[in-house]
Amino acid sequence: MSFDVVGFNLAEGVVHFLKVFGGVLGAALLFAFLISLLKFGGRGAGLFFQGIGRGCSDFVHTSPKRVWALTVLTWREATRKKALFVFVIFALLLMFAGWFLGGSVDRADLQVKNYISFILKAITWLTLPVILLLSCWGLPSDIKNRSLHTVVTKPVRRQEVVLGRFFGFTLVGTVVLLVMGVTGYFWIVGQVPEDARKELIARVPVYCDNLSFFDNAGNESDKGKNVGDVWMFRSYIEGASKEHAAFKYDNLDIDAIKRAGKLRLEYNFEAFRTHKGDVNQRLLCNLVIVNNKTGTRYLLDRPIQIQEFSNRVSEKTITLEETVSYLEDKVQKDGESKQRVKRTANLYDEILAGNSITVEVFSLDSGQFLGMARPDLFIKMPDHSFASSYFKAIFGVWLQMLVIIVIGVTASCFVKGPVATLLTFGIVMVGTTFNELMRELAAGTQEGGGPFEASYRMLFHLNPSTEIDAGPLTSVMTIVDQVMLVFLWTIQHLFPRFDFFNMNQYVANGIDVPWQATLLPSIAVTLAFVIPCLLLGYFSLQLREMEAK
Amino acid sequence: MNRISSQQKKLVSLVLIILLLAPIVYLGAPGDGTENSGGLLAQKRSQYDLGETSLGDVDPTGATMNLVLLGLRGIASNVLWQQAVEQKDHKDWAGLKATVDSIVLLQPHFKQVWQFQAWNLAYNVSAEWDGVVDRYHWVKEGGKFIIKGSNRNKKYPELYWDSGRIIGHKIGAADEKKTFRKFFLNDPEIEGGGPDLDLNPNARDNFLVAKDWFVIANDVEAQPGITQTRLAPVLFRSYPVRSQMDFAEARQDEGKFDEVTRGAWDLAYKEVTTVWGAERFASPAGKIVLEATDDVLQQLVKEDNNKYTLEQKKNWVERRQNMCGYRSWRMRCLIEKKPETIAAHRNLYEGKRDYFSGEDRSAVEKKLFAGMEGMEKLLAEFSELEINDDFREECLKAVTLWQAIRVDSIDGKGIPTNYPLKYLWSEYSEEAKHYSELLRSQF
Repeated sequence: MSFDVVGFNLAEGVVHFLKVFGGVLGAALLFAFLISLLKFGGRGAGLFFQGIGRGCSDFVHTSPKRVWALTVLTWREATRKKALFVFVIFALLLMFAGWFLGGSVDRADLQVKNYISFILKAITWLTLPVILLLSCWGLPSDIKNRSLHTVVTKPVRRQEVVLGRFFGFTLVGTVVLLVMGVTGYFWIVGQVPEDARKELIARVPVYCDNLSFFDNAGNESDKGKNVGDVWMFRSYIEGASKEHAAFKYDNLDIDAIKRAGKLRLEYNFEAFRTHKGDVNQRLLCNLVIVNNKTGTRYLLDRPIQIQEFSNRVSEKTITLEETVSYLEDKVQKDGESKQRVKRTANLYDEILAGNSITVEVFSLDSGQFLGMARPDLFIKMPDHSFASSYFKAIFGVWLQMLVIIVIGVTASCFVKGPVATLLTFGIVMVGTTFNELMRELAAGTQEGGGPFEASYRMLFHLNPSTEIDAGPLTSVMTIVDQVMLVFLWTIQHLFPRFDFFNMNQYVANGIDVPWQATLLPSIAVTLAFVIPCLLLGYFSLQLREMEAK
Repeated sequence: MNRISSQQKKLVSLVLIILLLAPIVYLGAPGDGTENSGGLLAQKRSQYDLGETSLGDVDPTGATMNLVLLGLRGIASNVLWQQAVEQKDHKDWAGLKATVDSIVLLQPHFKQVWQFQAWNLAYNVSAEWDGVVDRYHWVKEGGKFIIKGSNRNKKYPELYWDSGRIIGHKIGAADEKKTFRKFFLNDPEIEGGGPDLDLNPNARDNFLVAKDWFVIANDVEAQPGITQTRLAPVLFRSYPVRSQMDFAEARQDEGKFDEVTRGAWDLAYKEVTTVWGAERFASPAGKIVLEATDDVLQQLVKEDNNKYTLEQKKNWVERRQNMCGYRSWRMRCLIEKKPETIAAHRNLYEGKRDYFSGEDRSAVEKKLFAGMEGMEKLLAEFSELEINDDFREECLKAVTLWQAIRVDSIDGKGIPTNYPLKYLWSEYSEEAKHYSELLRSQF
């Protein structure tokens, strides 16, 4: 894995959503109230509350039958617009993908990643643009062609029009996605070489709660040594020294491990050699399992070889059966010298007792370094099928599509087709590409300061790391930037975090798509956009002049 | 007004289409690859080497990609290059290889893509892996990639040269050369053993396979209208024989002091003097050769219609010889092909090997002494050897071991006043001291 897997706290997320949603809704209502007062004078207050009341009544009286009728109408329109032609492109891609991917790498285990990534990317990038265009152009073209008149003149509520569009486009997207997903699955299984099929699995990892690094003096830190790698993902420990990394696991599900009948640890460390060493020997490391309750240390009786970058699961798995052999330093009669003796311990009653362990990793080769990050050592629960992981990723694409549909349809409720397309495309781009930058800017952690400070730096050709002399101007800049950052903090929430939806990396690396870190936040983000967008779409359509082309 | 019916209009159109198609078919008929085949356009394309086939093998996938992308090939290439850099930084090796393969589909005749990415795979990516089998795998990937590039671009001598360099230099001169050279003949990734046929179809030594690639590079470079920009001509064209020497030297390093090794040096000497040395190189004083005798140069003066003097030619010969170390290589081959040189090397090699494996000290001493005597004789015959670093290192290390045996012997032999290579030991005392310390640090 080339990224950390961080859990998502739903309660915090909901509170956060309510804060943002409540704030924006409150501001919008206040704004509407003021406008109404300004426009209609004293009568405005009554009209305002009347409008709110009508809205509530409309939502309460939503008719599923009418929504379904509009959903079917949307489906028919979409198929008439040849939206399903996207299948032809997909079929062409599958037919010729073998030309580009086949034999790219001779190692079958590495090739698997390419096949999976290709299919998931192809599905994502074929369905999403089609859905984006459909959802942005549906309502505006209905208004333009005046076909919406035939709908709104019937007893149909505006939110039913919006919901009909949501569901209709979702139906189109779901059918497209299902067909592509199932075809893609069989394509992958068919293309992957026979000897690499066993890599088509979904490992279920339990990542450590905390990773610490200890230097020679025993000082703890969250980072190890930096070996000058461009990619700062991993930290390193030096070989043949007291330096080590400690992966701490709390609240282990011992019953699940018992049911599996063994404890499986999978590692994915990186080697960095400062000298040639023995070129025919891979670097080695020792693992010590520490029971956090009793403090007993269990040094596994044989060192493990680093299988750097290998995608062959069996090469990187350490399996501990119920009886575990370990080495213990026994103090000799002289009271000073120690001798290593082999002992055995019960996995469940001794090593895992207390449900909390720490796995310490020591590199054994002098002058060589081992690199690791939090996802690089995990406890492996019984594997899931590849299909389960793959279809979870397809579900991720589906959720992404849903967000695009709700944004697209909502945008088309108040602006014309081209503008709605640009707006939705912009939101998707910011949500996928600039989300991290925006979060860093809003959190004030981005080097170079806020907008005012950044402009000042540009004007005076100061790079982001140059200190600006303290003075009145710096104080003004800081205050102005703080205000701007609060504004930016609110704005960034209007863009969905599409990084949650991208589950390709998990599937490609043979890891089960995690519920807590990916699926749950994806669903939460989707729901968080559906509700406000529905409200916005409803009120926009209420206010929109249908005669305007 | 118009009296012809719709059907008649269609017929007229059809006739016109057929009439217009006739010259198109006549002019644009595709050729079958042979000269004067196909329509006029195909013949002209063949005559002026304008077709893509004249550049090398055509890959239908790449051609399709370029057509499908319409005018967006440049943008797509840029995106892929950026992606390749990012994948390398994030160590996504399978992704990197797939991206690189896509780049070459878009830019199949862009020489630098093949050179840069082959180097990237064989040198940079392979070094990132810890397992020696994995490292060799990526060296092979780089080698196969550049060979594919050579086949697609038959007019770039540099790509053939790079194929030779990866197979010769990367496999034969890396830190892992011992293992890599074995893998080249017996690949661990090939079921049932044997070489990887894409790189080594005839199961030959890597330096000899590299030599073949360098020979092709020279042949391509010799074709009219083709130039290379990799190296100065005297250097570029030396690589076949340099590979021959590398082959012989590698055998010596591996302790193979047989007739094959001696024959390899012998062939190298012949190739230095009669192939590389006999080639005509351009210089400001007209054509020159590296193996230059007065007679040969006089002949060249005549060929140039006495435009340049013999002295001018001699001057430029010397400059070019200095540039490529011609005299040094020539002397090396001359010395190494002698049976007595082979014998001296063997004695020193076996003496050193037996010393470190703890064999009988008196036998080791004898071997080392015999080797030192052999080297002494060579030094007497070829005094230039003294300035050869490799020669000095081999000799001084042997003397160090020999002295160590003498000093450590139970009967207290000590070091005699005179012994072979004493001159070298005294003259280069700093180096000798360094080797003595190195030996002490081993124990």
